[in-house]
Amino acid sequence: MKTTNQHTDEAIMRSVKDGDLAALGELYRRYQAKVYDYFLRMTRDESLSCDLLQNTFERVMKGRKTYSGNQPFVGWLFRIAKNVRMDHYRRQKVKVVDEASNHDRGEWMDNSHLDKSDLERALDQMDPDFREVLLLTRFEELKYKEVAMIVGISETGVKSRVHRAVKQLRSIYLTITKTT
Amino acid sequence: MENIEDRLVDYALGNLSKEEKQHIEKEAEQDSSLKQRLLDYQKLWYEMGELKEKTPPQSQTVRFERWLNDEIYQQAKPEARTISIPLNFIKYAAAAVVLLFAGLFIGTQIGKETTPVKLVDNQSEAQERFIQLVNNQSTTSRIKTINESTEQETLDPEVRDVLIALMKEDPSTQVRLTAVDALSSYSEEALIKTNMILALKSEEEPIVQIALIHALVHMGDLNAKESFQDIIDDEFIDESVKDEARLGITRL
Repeated sequence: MKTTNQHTDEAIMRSVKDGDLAALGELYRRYQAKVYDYFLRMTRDESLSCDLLQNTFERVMKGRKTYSGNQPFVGWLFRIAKNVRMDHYRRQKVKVVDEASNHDRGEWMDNSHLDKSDLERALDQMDPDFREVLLLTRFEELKYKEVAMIVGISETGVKSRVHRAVKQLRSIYLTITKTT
Repeated sequence: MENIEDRLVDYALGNLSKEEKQHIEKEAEQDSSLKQRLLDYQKLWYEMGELKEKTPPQSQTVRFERWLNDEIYQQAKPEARTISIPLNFIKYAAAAVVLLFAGLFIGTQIGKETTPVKLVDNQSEAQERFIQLVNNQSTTSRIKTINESTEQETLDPEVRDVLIALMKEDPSTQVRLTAVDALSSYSEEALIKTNMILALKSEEEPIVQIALIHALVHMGDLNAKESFQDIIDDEFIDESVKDEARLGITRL
């Protein structure tokens, strides 16, 4: 629960729900980088990540009346972000796993000039489902319970997936560092 | 029962109790391969936390702000039909702002205020209402007021002055942005162009700076070129704004 700028995320979202639409601007300022970073690390496409970020906040606005007011805003926001991402791939009729296969086609390599670290390269090569739980638990510091709601599996399932993700990351990382 | 690899991961993630940690450490001391794996997991988990967050480009922020303003405007639309004196209210406010800003700012370079507008002595009722508009009403209300004011086909001079004041002085970025958008529809008004150039000089928020550049380019104001060049030469201004200024010069 964030308390910067006097008001918590939840209090601001309740204001949005009650009709103070401009308050959404503050939530955007707080979370634009986190949500964009999530999309960029999942899709590796800057332009698409901007579109998905925009769609996420448009959906927050559209669904503001459904916000319960008690649940942590960040979990609710990322659940919407996840749905936006999935809907995008559904519309494109592309399986989510294709995010990773883009690597093979070299389509995401536009970012190669960014001088990525070995760790970032390893993250890019991970299974998307594994990468996602690492992003949510490590980068966004969400609790397993919140991540479970976002990805649609049990809390135990999240813990198990995080474990497998960390092991996979180590394996890929070691392969990369051995070859460089 | 979790295997040793899972416990190593749990150790790195900080999920173990003190006793469990000591147990793992003891095992690691006796097994160099296990110790190396533990160090690998710890290092990866730590370094992930140190990775820099990527931020969206400024153009996305502008896109969001414009969309949000549209949403606020759409929300305000049905209410506007039921408000009996929106224009009169703005006229009162306009009268106030003319007095207020004449005293405070004419002939001076107006710096961007982040604090509420100050009162002057002997304020009239209209001035008070304007102060209430700027200081006490929510950002949403001020944006609604701006949008209502531009529903008229012609821009009332008093309303125009209120909009100019809000564009330059309102503490909310979104309100300033909405005021820029509202004023940019009146490209024939020289006073608006002049004040947009003044606003560009004092504005510090990249989103509003970009909106002002777009508006001045849209209005085709050649006088803006000098201000655009100042932006390009200013080392403290955001690179995305400089890019827009460069583009603006080529388009004017």
